[in-house]
Amino acid sequence: MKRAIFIIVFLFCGFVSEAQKMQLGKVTVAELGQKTHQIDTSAAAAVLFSKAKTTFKIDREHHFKAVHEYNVKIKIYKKEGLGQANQEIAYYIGYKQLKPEQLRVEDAATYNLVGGQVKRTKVSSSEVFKEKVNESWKTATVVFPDVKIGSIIEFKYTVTSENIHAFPNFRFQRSIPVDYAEYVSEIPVNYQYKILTNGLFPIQSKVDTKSGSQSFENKYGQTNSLQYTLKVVTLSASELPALKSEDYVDNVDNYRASVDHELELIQFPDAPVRNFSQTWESLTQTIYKDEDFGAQIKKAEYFMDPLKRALAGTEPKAERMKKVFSLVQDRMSWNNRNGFYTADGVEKAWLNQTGNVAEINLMLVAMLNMAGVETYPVLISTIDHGVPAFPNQTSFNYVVACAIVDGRKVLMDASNKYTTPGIVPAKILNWSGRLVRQDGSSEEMSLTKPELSRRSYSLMGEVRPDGTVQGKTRVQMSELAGFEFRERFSGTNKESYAERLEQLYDNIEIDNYAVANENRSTDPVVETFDFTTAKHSEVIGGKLYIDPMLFFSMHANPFTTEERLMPVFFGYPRQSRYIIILKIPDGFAVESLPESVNITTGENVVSFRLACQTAGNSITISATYETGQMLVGSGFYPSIKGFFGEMVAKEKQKIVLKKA
Amino acid sequence: MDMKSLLLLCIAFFSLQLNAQKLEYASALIPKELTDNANAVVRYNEENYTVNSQNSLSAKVTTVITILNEYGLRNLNTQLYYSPTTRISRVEARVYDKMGYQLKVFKKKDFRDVSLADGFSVFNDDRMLYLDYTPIAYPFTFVMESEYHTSNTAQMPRWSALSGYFVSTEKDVVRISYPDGLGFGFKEVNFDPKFDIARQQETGTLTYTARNIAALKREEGSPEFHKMSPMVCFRLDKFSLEGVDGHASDWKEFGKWYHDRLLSGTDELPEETQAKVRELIGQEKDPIKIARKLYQYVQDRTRYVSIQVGIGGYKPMKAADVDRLGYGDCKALSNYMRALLAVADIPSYFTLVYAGDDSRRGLMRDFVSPQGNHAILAMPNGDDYIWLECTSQVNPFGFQGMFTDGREVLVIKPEGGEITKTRTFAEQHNSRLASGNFAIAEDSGITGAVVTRSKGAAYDAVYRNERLSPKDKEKFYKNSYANISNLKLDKIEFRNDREKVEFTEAIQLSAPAYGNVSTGRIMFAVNALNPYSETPKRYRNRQNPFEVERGFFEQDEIAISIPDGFAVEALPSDASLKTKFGEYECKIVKQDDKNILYKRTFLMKDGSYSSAEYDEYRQFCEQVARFDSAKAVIYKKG
Repeated sequence: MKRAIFIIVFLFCGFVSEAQKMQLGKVTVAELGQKTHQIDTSAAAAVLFSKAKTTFKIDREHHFKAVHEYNVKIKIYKKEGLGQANQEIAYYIGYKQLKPEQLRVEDAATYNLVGGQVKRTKVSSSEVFKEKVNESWKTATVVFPDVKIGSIIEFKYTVTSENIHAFPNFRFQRSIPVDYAEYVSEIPVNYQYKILTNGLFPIQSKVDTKSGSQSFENKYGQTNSLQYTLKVVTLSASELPALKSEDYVDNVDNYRASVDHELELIQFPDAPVRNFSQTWESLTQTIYKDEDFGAQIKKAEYFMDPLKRALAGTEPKAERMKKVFSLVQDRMSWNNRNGFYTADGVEKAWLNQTGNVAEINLMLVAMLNMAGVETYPVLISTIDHGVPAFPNQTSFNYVVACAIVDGRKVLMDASNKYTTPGIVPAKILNWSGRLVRQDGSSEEMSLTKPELSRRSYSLMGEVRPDGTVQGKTRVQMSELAGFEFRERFSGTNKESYAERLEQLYDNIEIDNYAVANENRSTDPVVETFDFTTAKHSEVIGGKLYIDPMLFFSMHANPFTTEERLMPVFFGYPRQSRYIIILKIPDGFAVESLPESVNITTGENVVSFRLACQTAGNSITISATYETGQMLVGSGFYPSIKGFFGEMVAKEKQKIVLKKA
Repeated sequence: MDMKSLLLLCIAFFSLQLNAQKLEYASALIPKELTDNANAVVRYNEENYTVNSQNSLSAKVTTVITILNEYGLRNLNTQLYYSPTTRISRVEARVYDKMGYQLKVFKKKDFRDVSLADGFSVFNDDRMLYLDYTPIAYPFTFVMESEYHTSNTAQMPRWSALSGYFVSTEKDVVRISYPDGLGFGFKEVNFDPKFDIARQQETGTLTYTARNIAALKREEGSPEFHKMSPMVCFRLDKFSLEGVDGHASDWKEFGKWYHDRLLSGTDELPEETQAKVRELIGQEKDPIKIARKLYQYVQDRTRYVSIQVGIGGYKPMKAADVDRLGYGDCKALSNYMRALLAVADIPSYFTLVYAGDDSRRGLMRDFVSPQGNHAILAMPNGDDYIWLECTSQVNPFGFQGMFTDGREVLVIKPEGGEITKTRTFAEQHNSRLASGNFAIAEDSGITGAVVTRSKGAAYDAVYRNERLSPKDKEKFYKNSYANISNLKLDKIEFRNDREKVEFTEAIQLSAPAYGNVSTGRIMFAVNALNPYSETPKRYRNRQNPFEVERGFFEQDEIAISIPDGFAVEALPSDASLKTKFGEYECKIVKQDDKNILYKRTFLMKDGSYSSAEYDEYRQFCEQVARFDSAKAVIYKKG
């Protein structure tokens, strides 16, 4: 899919003059009387406007603070929209160097139509509940009084923050329609920000300058004043539809219209430019300079002895790589924290045998290099974290190791107990990672083309005259398919697992379930079991009608909706192959077999082949199902939906046996 | 610190390390019968409670648990709750490896302190200390010691001899001491003789010791854990609740206390609102009709907002505040409705209940203490009550649905409390009655229309559909007709009769290739519109009993037509099943060359059954599913 859809074109066009009207306290009878949203009549509530403005304020110490002011007006149309009447605002208090952010809520009120007049009910401060959620976050919940169908609620809040490196993410689009949203930043020109917009909906932009000045009191109590030029950037969007997730979506936030601001550089006359990572090169350098990254890869003393012991007598690089990987994977337990910076540092992590992703995988990078295997860290954004579209630190939240062995790149993640070199968890296969080197150079590594994961099913069965089918099955799972099986089921009670499998396979009966290679291994997982089913055939009028795919049939089209807005996410590329051999009962002969099928959506998104043939008194059914791409544009949706519809229909064709 | 003392400290530290093996914690010592079906084993748990006075209770708890594998990690409880009335004075945790060597010690400062956001309260003042521990190998043993003090004695701690599914208990002791004169009482729950639990009672002290209690398995259809796991509850006649003292030895007294101390004085309404109520009532005299109007008034003017602070967790916010603000929690809204009814001189009673769709849980009749997690309102109606759920903006008047039906509740009257049971819908009243038709086309496509009327619990399951967005509606019905692929919904219409509590869905649908075509024949399932497919899971060794908490009744009458030029080759035979679990009958009648009439009734009974009956039940469900998927074959004539 084209990345272009994520990079919104900045349009310099005429600006919405209505912005003037959009102030708090101007609720009209007409607005209150409105029964449904004009565009989306099913909307339970809508944001009439949501405006954010960021300005700088200077403090006594001559430092700028960012002041983020938000003005929001919401209309309730239906009972389901009453939830909007509790507005939760989260703000950050967990800074190490900076003061906690401060929040002020003002002008919060509910408006109703009472006897043809606008009635305003103010939210008193006792209806704003502040709560410390944990060390990092506080929330304030504004609970609006007297809210019913038709009400309008309004509020203004201001977050004051010493953090000028990044502004809070602003969402133009929400789970309810937004009629108008804007974000204005008025920042001294000396501070340059990168503006990162996101989503499927166009955001318009306008840039201006104006002059500004501020007086402030210095530490001696004298009043100073500062003159400067402000850059005014206005981002806006109108008539944004409600953002609702769909099935088979990687991360709904990837498609939400939103904006982030990141400080790029500070430049004052007669002072050197202070740069804050704007290119891949500067990002790479910044990260390597950080104590929690670059320095961590250099530390070696703590692992020298165990490394020597592990590598004793091992020469080939590929073997050394495997041994080092196992050394780290066996020793370290992941504490469920992501990040590409270490928290406690590699040494402490090694000692405690637990660490975050950075501690575990940076340790791995260091050890592999020490072992003579050229290895680099690769920055990654997990699927949950969104698309890593721009070179900046917040784009990433994970790091893995990439070794170069015999000219091949091998990705490794030692923070999971079931990975092997080359197999990393599917949650991190998201667009592309960034391989970063000490010298500041870096390269993009595509993560969307992992090796095809294979499942192969073979089944030998015998059909009885009453339609019961009995036989043996063998299922083999390799690459990510094998990894996922191990991660979920390794070490589970096999009896319970077989019970679960029975349910998955249309309640057949399973006996003698066994599994091989269920623990960490580079060989495929192999399951074998005996089965009996009376559910995949019918006896009607003396004839036997048998489902050719038995309990491997797909019963329903997973895609049901007619409309599709977001790209379709299939997860890692996979292939399932089936060979089913059925012996037909004595006294029966084949009347008809399902016709052969070969369907595909084109561009290798999904394909399915099915063929049946008779040989003596047995029937062989072979089938292959394959998805080749992880993420495909919504334009493909009709053909994907059609494909699965046809596949389900074809799998329903019967093998018909008649009395010979 | 000089070098020498540092060295001494190091030596001291190391010798401490060396001494820190606890052989008894070694995981190899666990008896095998406790590791079967277990992901964790409580090796030793000791809870010591001292009731100092009516408003002072101290606790000292030590738990030693061995976590056998990563699935058992969810049973590692490192959380301690506190609030303005509960203070944690000490907490310490230690980790041992599988041989019993000490790996780590955690002090109070290592615990994280977070607000106990329960996900639905906009505010509550409960907080939690917890330890974020990442194990480095399995099995390992975790020891946690804590001491706390609380002024709340109304809700005394409960002791459970099992701490969850797939967790065994090797030894578990609870000891509670109490002064004379506070009216100490206790209740044993689920004390099946198969559990080895001994009671020791002396003056002022009660002790229970449980030994070798094997883990319970989680199985489909099982009663809830709290209905199977052995437990002891404690109580005092003289208690204190968030700073409010109380005295009650029976429900009557408890209700009276609740009424006098927590309810009375909360139901005043401004004159303006009273006038509005009188205006709303007009000339109406029938109390039920008046209550209906007022219920609608509450539904239109309020919303549910949960705020749980101190006694506010028990005492409703003032009705006048709810009137002004237009919101409140379950207590506040029930109490507001009570106040409105009072203006019309209609009595009604605040009622405590355990709410939940998944499982009915009643208050313990013979154990007087604050119980329940929800409040509703009881309005007398002859010898019975009409139950009002005041937190919903869409519930029909007097309809409880599955949220609070069929369970013991406490009705709080000015003269005292009374335990009674809310209304239970018998299976026949949880009904779905469908009538309709469908036609099979020459290419095996289907077009059909069906009208379904749902009542009782079945009403509860579908009536919110009228509020779904078009997209979600489409999704819901495509899901309910998942047996027809590539379904198109041509029309979806609803009628919600809130008075009769009956929901009608009228659906028109079509799909290509419903049946399968082979060599001039079409085969299709006769029950296209309501096939039962929920076959329970098969267990090799079913352990738990099971229950069907809410049975149901379905009736379908569907006229089927086949395309011109086709004739019926085979129809499924009629079927009938009669078991203790339920009854099923279907009749397929060929009316003429083109038309077939399909009639079906299916009754699933409510019931509680032993584990031995499970297979029989499963077979009953399977047979129904099989009859429901039976196919007809038609062929092209000539």
